[in-house]
Amino acid sequence: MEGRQVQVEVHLSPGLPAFTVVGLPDASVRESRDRVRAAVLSSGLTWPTRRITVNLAPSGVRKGGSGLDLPIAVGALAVANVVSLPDLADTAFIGELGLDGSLRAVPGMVPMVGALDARRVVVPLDCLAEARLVSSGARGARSLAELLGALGGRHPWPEPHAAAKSEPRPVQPDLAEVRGQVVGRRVLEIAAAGGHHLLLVGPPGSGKTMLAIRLPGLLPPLERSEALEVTRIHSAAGVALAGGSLVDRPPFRAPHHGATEVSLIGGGSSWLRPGEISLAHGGVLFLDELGEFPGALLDALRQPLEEGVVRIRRARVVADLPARFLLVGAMNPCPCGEGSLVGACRCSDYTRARYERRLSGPLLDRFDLAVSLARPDVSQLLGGPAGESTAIVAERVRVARLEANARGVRCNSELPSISLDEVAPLSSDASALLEHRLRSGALSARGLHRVWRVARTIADLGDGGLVITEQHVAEALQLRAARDTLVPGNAR
Amino acid sequence: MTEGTLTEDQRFAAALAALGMSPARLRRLLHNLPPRVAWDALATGTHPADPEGRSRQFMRHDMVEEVATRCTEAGVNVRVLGESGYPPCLADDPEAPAVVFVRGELALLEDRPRAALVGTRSATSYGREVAFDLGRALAEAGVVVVSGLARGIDTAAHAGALDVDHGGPPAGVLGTAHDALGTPAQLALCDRIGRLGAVLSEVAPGTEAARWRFAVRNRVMAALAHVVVVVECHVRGGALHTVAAAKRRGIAVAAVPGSVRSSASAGANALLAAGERCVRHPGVVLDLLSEATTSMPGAPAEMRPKAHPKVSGPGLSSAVLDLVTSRVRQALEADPASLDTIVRRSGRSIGEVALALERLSRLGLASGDRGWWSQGHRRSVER
Repeated sequence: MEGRQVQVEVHLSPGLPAFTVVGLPDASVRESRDRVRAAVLSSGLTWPTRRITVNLAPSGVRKGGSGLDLPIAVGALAVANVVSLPDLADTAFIGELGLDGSLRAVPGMVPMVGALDARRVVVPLDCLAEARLVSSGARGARSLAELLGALGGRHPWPEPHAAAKSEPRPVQPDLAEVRGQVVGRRVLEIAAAGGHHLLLVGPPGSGKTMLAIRLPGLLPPLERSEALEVTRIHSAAGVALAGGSLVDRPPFRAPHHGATEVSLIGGGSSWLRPGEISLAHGGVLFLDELGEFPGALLDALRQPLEEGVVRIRRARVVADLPARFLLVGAMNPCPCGEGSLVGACRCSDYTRARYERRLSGPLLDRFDLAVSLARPDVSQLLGGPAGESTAIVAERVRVARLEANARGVRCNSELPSISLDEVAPLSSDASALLEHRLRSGALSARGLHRVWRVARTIADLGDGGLVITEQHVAEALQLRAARDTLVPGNAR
Repeated sequence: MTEGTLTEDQRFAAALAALGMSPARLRRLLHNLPPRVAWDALATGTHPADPEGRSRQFMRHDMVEEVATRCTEAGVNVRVLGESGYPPCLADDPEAPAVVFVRGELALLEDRPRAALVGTRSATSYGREVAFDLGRALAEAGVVVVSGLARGIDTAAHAGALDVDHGGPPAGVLGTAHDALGTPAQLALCDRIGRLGAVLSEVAPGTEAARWRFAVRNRVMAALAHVVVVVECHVRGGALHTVAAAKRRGIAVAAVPGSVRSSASAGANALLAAGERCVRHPGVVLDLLSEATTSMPGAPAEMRPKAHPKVSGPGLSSAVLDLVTSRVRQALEADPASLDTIVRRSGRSIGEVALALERLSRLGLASGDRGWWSQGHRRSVER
């Protein structure tokens, strides 16, 4: 997600009054002619009644969006001698104009401002906080008139209201609110600590969503460089940044299963938009009702899951968008939802088999953790002890991640398979257990490495010893058991 | 297998069956009338059993050809009640299907003891294992294992019967048409049964599956069998239709006991409480079969069930369990419980429970299915 600097050249020539914009403008830019003219007139300024030609350089690149309104207006006012040229030295402008001369916010401020090499950047006041994340020379204004006054030094640059600045952050749901769910809480912790993709299978009301939305709270805050990258993506997609500030908490995205491929993966015919998977970069992508997503859509996730970037190739656009996210899937055991309880399922064999086939083997293979959840029992809902809070678990996650950092990776799921022998040596019992599973065909070679990495994370969360014991491996195997029978032809 | 083309009578009978009426009505329409004549009479509204011409709206002139083609494509033969080739074992039944569609060799089923193994689709691992063992032991003794090809008990029983080389031929009775089978697993099973025994259905190929057909199909299973064994069934399970049909025919019914805490065994246990025979080992079924078949007309002695060589129940493992493992074992019940529940019941950590379950399942004392655990038995069997 990168911005491109555009130079706006304005030329005034004798002839009948006219206003043309050249340099591959798209419809939104061509329309800006009318907005610019109206804004200038309503600000009480004169509009040059001669032939005006605006060129957007480089002329070979298509330009869109309403952010070019402001520079065009300033250019036109400069050639009309309303603004003096020395005031504009080393200054860039971004913003949409209202017909009354007001300045309106435009999406994508962070990457756009980031691409400019001017010393001073003027943006709509509503975007100032966003622009300041990447440029210390950002200035804001509410209207064209205010802008001209500040440019001419007649009054100072306005500052946004302090209230708007310190908008309270939305309260994150806490893990302490989850009653019971020993296994659910445990896989959440392991997933957060090791960056392992997680599949939750359970009937409606078993707490799948409740658990998933608490996962981002367990992840460590984003580092500065990561935060900037995430902020750039969110800004480019026009997602409102909380309080206009840097996105420093891992994002949580939960697209509905009706999502289209472009909205999920990213793309678009002429203007590139990052998809949900890029918006989830550095955080969690939660796909609820995984079985209801079209198969082709899910399989499109495979490449980004593997590489952490999504390579978008279109006739006009080529881009590699970052998409390194923690995937959490949730699904019912069968279409009626009751399949895990003996005798309660009302589905026919055929619908069950079809439901299980929805997820392709290769996609299922990417879930390191897969657990069956049951509805909590009544005694736990009412009188059960409250569980550990997010803060306590997040601290354990942080410590476990430090262990992984010492191995040169962000988290254990990124450990290369060849290094496993060295960083996660198996005890003889543990290796006997894995061998037994491999021989019985219940575990594939890829599965082996995934179990191994999860066992490493489990050990890191526990005593943190170097050697992986039989118990670590047994737990890792148990915590992926729910995927076994979902894999076609793998009924144990 | 199929004999190339169907005779005219067979084609018209198949087309009549494809009209989708109830078995009783189809019987009335074909009673004492050759299929061709019955068809023409229906088409002209002069059939004595259908004076109002109710069936005419469903009839199309190209139907006869269409159904015949579908039969050929599905590798299905047509047998008409009262004509040669109709299985004698069904012919005397008061509710015999007027037309049956058959894959495989019906003659293989004649002159042999036949036992229907029925039960729930959502079976526990206990039920599946017992069904498998029973199916296997009965097939070894040369018995025809009759079942309904559904998930759960039916599939496990047939899997057991097919596990024996040169055992009794299996027989399947479908509730759907031959070409309307659901899952790939069902298709594969049906193929194997068709090759070694026979698969019957009274639903014409090309007909969509309907719920009522399954209940109606159960009477055919009962009619075909000398003994009906309920392996595992819920209080209101479909297997009880088969039991009721067997009772009406005076056919022996037996049931496999299960845990009183297992809801999947509640129906079978209720049958036992009502005085049905208790199947503690395959020998009980063989005894019942020989009682039933001594009165079998013309059954040669060698067709009687052979005595089962070893009659034994599952022995308890004598392995010594450590403290945690035995705590976890006590937390297991007949009904599957989630990992979460077992962790809570045993009061141990997830890691400890995971390791204990691993050990128990290797000893055959626990059996797991997609993360749900129950008390184990010797062998785990495909669903």
